[in-house]
Amino acid sequence: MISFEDATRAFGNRIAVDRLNLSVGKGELLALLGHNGAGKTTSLKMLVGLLKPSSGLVRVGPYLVSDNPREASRLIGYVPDQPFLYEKLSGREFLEFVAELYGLSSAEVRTSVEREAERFQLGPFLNRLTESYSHGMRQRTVFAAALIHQPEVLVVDEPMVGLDPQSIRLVKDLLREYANSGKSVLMSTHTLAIAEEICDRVAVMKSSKLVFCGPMTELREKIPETDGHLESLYLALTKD
Amino acid sequence: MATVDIAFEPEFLTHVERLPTHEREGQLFWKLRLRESRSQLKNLFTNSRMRTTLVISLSIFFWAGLFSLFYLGFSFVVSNVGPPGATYHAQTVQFVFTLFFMSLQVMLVFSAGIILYGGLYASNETTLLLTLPVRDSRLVFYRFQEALFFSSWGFFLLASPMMIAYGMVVNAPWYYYAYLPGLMISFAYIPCALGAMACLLLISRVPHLRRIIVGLIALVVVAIAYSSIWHTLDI
Repeated sequence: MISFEDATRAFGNRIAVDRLNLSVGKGELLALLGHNGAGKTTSLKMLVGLLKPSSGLVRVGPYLVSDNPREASRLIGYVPDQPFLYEKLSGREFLEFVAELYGLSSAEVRTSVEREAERFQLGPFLNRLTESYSHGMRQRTVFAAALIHQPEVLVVDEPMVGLDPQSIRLVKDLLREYANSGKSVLMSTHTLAIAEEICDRVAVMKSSKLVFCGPMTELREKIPETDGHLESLYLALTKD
Repeated sequence: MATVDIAFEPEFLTHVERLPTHEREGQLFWKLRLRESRSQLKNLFTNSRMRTTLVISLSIFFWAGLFSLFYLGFSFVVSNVGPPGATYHAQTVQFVFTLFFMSLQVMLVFSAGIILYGGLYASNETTLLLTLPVRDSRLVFYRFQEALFFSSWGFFLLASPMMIAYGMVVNAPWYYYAYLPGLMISFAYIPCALGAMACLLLISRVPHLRRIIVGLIALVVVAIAYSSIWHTLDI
């Protein structure tokens, strides 16, 4: 459903992502791991159309993102690490705006907003201006907006930052259930325990390159001398 | 290489075919603006009454001051230089109008370009919109409208008292006033469009030199303005 084919992105002389080859299938949840500056966010930005690859291809479903950004983005729901909400709109108005941009009919907009409001427990503050929302409320609203059109692909950048335990549980369950329903989920995270708990495969980036991609069992076989937890495996894999 | 493999999943085409038309996208952005404006106004008149009252009062005071200044100035021209229709009157008014509108034109080019830059390339909202299925052209147009609005309010505040004062001094017919809004709106579009085009060109061709180029152009404009004023004093 998602594929990076030799995707490279350079900023001047600095290569942020170097010949990335990675794919995520239907019904799969993949965690993208790596130190700060390893190229995770740049990879996600190429996937959602915010950056064009300097070379190589990025596909979502049948679409090349660089050639058909609008069509590709219809299939994607994106939760960025620094989400934006219109401060002078209520959560409901924001969700309606996003749903209408995805081409949902008026009836679909109503049912989608209610569905996501219930899923993310937005009801009590849905009609309040988003400027009054806490970080957790904002994050839940952004998740609701990303899922409003039930995308084939969910792309999430650092989903757990600043969330309370209840919201973390909600997001974890959601990501797993979404993948189980046959959709593709790509998540970039530093929270290794959660990646270990819910992901089908992990991909590890180091210094702009992909150094591992596979299930946890494969990673344990690759580095047998650790205690088998993702944290130890990750640290061993990314050690200089 | 084919960019779209339609046989891959035909249901994807159904999703894509349902995306809003160009016109519908435009309507959605207008709806967004109206909702934001309504909320902003409600906030201004409920939570920030003091600030709102102050801004409105000072704007009225500023407008009235400018109007008085222009009224007295044009009255002086009529009584000391010549009545409307006289050669010296026409030359003087032409000079004042040219200088005034030329200066505002330069101001509008810069302000529209800078506001568009801030809206298109350094904005979290644009980042959000780029991840949604919005046409690039619609996004630029949406941002251009915003740049036009925010850069030209100063122009309307400055130009309207001058134009109305002149009309009153020379006893202009009613249609002079009727044409004024249209004239000013269409005037604002030209420099704003120039500023927007310059901004888009700079970012697409020489993004890393944008600050240097804008600084150099500003220096040239200041030099030309200084030279023009110097020669005016010579006359």
